[in-house]
Amino acid sequence: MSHMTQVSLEIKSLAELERACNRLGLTLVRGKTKARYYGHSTMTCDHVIEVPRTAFDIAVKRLSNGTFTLSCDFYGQEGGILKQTCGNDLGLLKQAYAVEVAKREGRKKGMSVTEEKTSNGKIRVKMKAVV
Amino acid sequence: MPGGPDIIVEVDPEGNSVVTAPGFKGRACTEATKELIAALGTKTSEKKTPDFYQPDYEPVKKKVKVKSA
Repeated sequence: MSHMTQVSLEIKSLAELERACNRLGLTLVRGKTKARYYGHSTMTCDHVIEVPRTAFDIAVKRLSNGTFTLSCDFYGQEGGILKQTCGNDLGLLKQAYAVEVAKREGRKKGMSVTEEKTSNGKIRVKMKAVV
Repeated sequence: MPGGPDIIVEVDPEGNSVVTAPGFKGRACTEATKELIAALGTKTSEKKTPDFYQPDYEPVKKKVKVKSA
């Protein structure tokens, strides 16, 4: 091994975000522009992620640089369900997204790709050149 | 690392990743992981191991007999 690189996540692909949603049982509704949060309020966005068992959504906004931001409300019981499903600061959704991106990139290079969960909550994606 | 993975991506529960390339020696690993890292996000740090400075080919050792004229 010749180097180790740490990468801070940026959400760049709606296709992989949709796959990440599917992994967690969420639904990405493309083109829906109102995400629900506390007090029957809504925030404007480009797409919405619907989360089962809660009336709160995740707002997906596209920035001018082409990346996407995720926003939601963790307040109260509805927000608690959202946090339980998607993790603190939506970390589990972001983790699932990064795993899907890594798998896509490995397959694009024609490599065989496997994934495994580690004991500390991480997910390890392994890629191997097919000979 | 024969039989092992060539590239490993470890993603933490916050979505941040560590990318390593145990199957590569030398600067070939940078090329092999460049697109992957760009797809995942922004590089925040990089640590080079001694392997980085190794040639990415096997040095050829051959004995040559020199005939005197």
